[in-house]
Amino acid sequence: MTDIAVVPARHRFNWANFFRRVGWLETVGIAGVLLITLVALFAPWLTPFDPQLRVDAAYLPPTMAHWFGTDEIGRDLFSRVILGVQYTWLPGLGVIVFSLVFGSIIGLVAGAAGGRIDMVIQRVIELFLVLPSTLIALAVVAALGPGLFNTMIAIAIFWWPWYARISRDEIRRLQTRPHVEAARVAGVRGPRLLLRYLLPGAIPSLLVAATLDVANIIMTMSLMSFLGLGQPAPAPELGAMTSRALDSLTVYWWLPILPAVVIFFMCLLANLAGDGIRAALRGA
Amino acid sequence: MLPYLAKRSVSLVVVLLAMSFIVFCLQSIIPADPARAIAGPTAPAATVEVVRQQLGLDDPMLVQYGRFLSNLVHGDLGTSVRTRQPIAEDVRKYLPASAELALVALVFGIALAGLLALVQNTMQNSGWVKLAIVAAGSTPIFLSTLLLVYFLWFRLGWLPGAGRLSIRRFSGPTGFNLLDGFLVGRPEVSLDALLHLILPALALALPIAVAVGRSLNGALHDVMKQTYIRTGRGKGLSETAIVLRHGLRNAASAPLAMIGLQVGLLFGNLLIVERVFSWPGLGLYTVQAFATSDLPAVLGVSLVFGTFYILINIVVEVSQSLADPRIGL
Amino acid sequence: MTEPVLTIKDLSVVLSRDGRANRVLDGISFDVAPGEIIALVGESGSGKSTIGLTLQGLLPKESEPKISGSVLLDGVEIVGAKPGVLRAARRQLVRAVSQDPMGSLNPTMTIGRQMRESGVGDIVDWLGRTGLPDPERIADSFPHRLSGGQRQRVLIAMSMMTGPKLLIADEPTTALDVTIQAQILDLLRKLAREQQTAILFVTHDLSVAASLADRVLVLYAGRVAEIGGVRDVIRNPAHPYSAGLLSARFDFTSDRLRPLPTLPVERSRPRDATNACAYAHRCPIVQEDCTTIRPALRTVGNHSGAAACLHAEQTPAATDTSRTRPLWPESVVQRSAVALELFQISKGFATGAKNFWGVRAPRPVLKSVDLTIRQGECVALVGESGSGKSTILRIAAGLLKPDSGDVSRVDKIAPQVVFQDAVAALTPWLSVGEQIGERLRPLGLSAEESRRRVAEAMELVGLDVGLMQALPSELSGGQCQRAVVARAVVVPPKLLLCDEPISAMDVSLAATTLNLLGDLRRRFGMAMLFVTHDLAAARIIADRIAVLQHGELVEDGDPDALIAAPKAAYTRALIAAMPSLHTELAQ
Repeated sequence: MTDIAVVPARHRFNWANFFRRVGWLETVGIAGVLLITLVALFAPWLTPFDPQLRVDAAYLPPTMAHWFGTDEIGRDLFSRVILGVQYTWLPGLGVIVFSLVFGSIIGLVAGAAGGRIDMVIQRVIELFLVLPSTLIALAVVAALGPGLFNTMIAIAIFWWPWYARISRDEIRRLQTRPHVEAARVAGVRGPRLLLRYLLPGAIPSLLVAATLDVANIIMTMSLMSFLGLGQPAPAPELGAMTSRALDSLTVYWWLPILPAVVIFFMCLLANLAGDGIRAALRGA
Repeated sequence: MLPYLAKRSVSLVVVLLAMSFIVFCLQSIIPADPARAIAGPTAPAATVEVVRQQLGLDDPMLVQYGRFLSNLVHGDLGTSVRTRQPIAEDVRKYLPASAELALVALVFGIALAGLLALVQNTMQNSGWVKLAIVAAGSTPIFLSTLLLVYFLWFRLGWLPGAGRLSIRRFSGPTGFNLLDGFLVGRPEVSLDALLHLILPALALALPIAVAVGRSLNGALHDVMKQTYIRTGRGKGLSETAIVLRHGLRNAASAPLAMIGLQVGLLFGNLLIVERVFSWPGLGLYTVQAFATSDLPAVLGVSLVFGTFYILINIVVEVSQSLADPRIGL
Repeated sequence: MTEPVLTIKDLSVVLSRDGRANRVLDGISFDVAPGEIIALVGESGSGKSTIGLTLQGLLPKESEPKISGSVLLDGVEIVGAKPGVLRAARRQLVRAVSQDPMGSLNPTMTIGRQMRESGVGDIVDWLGRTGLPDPERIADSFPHRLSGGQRQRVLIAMSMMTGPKLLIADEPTTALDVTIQAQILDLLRKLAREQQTAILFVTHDLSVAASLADRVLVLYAGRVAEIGGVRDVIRNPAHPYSAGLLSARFDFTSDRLRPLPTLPVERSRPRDATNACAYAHRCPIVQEDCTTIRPALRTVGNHSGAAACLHAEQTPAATDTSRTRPLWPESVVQRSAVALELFQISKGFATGAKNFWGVRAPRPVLKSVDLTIRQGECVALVGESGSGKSTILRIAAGLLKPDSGDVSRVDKIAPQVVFQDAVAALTPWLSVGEQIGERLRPLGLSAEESRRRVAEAMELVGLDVGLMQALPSELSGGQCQRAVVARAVVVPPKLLLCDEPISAMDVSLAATTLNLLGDLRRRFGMAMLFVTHDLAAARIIADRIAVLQHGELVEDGDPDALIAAPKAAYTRALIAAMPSLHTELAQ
């Protein structure tokens, strides 16, 4: 008697509903993240001045000509920051994508295989998770030698286990759900069960975790850059720019502060976008 | 309890072994040849060979790792290239300053987290509160540190912006200036230490407050939807009594785990804050070790911090089980 | 009559969900006298639980409740009252016992402290009065140490110790086993009489209402359909909906040789029933004026109560449809051929106490069970929660491996399963058609041919073929159940396993489902294992009933013979605990 014929409500996407569920702050975040990605991709064409050359007097405060002022040898800080966005954002996304793909596969294997394989993988994941990852990543870069690529490797080593755990737990959870048991009873086996019935259920959690992690990665990478573990000197990395100008804080405040403010905005927008994607996927 | 302790100590040993193994591997992939470094750049190849044999660098990996472990157990972390002191001794010297800062930061952070969860809970749907909290959580540690220093020290001059004390030469029995002032009968030193602690501790507390506060708020939000909360309301309890008596304890598990996680990040942030505030602790020591490629020191400190981190997470697990009688140990 | 303890006048409640306003209660009026027990009966969505929450002032804030009308509780106006007044009312006047005893107690606080919060009174004495053994120990325990029945007793003690004027009991026994259910009902009745507490008893089950209440109020779509003395309404229902509910329910006396009578399925609810009878689109005696006039509650000839029907005099008697329906075809049990044989099956789960090393001891769930199902035979496996009945089904389905013993099936086609929670048994992101067609894949049919077979199966189970591309979330619960059945029979197996398929359903949907399963098993000659806690349903559907207690089969036999003359003490207890309209009315 609860058999009410329901009009299919699918495929009726409307923006009003989207905003109500996601919220305006989060929508701004999503738009901002897209914008940052564009800036990062086309950075070399967007800089008003050559970021590596002296273009004006040293230590100019922010003006209309030089929005962020100039640095100790007269390079345009704004141009350097634009390039710095590229140096931070794209490797950050790279680390996320690598960790997400690698971690999800490992987790999928563990969750689907079960038994011994699951136990071994789980122990390995746990081990990675209880280690103090930031510290060891620092030590790894220190040992491998500074550089952007080494930083990326060091962070990725400690990042994938998070996704492996989410993916593994989701798969295990789904496997006990009636609909997966029902599929199994209906004779669905092997890759079809894995790809059609299990994986799609794990994707939302993974995606939410990954988008919320973008800010964390950016933060960790700039922390390493600040400690001098990123690309060596002339490269315009945001963390390193702040760190090198630390002593001029009281005199030329814009030099250390503005690059850090740009990092802040990248993280803020990424966090808001992450919240937005979580709201959108949870509601779906 | 007993089986829990047994199991936990086994896993503690495994984790420590794994960590020491990683550190050991990192040591051995360093491109520089330690035998050559000790023998000197001009020494003949035969001399280098002799030194190598003396150092046992010809032994199989496993034997070398065993030796490394036995050194660790005896408290020998190697020798710093920069200070030319045993690293263990350096750690003893710099640890109290960092420990004091980290503890005060943790206390600040947890207190602020509670406040934040309260604000967020009472102003549920305010976009601005949300934006402020997300913004606070998106501030890189060096930016918040710089802003605190710039405004509260440089511009306003309210609080000291560098070092642990205004006076030179003070050393107390514990190395915790906050305590030592009282212990040696000079409370003005403790006050001075507190003033110096406020800025760096605030900078370190901010990320903890945001992460733990958000986690607490989220957990509380979920708990308040449970049927037993309705039972409580059905008894005619006030909303405050419901949150305090029925909400908090049930919501404790996730924020406690978050505190554990944040301690790991706190150690990383210590490096930056100590660098900016010239705080004479292990963080600054590590930053200087980075700058001079003093790898043994970096690895030694990582090992020390790592051990603390693991111990703190055991404390977290025990407190989770104290909060919820269903989680047996 | 003395001054009523509760007077509700023209109460309407509008709740919003996802930004859409929904009139959940629509002009409800009734009184409750001190010490009176009144049952609120209705199907899910009728608004019966909303009444209780409104009385307590506990409607969820996020649904932005808009309340109009008047609720006078012991002289206190509840509608529009200040939070302080509501809190005082909850403390002293009205208490509630919920449907979910497992979730209603704070897991991190001892029972004693939670009771202390409730009000003054001797905690241990009250725990003892609800029949809890060793009340001192229980007061010191945390809730997770207690069973569902024990927790419900604690909640009743917690409510009654403050001597409230009104107790709202919202389906307090649905989550409990039948035998416990009867005890809890007795307890409620006893305590209410002792303390002169009125009870608002919310239930979907008319026989439970009959066993407890003085009066019954039938709700439909947020309106009062009928109100009257419990016996009056059950003997002579005046509203066609009450009559339908009564005829759709089944018990030990229902005719099992033919399909059960059912209510007409709700096809499309009219958008706006402001000036119409809400039941008009389902009503068997609907007339023109029903869609233009909203019927008011009026006294009717049938009994002393009142009903909201313009044509109450034409309401058919509840029982007269049985002779008109055709008999089921003759049963096709093949005595010689076996569909499933379980031989000395035993199984344990590691859920016992932890040993020194934190490893849980295995708790035996099945102890050497032998069960044979012949081809075309339907066996109902009856038992309470924890008896191991679902474990048997999962072993038969091949989802679990027994610790020891043999399972033999003769069929090449794997047995199919109809799950308890049909909504959960469908994958949310795949279309209904794809999921039904899943079993056709090994046959290697063309896309067109599979489509045709899926459509056939959907028609067979009475599911609109237009829903083939729909996602499960677009289907109602009943439609999901049909989709699950369609998937099971798209390639008819020799053995169909049903895991409590009707336990979460309203009576009418349950009857419809039993009819569907009965039809399909006869049509395809399928053997069936029907796992249930409901002896009445087991009797209707099965050729044979097997009773399971603590992992052992205690009795096994022809349904009518078994119910008429149960041999095992446990079976007798189960039968005695089943509330039945007829026995209640005979008293």
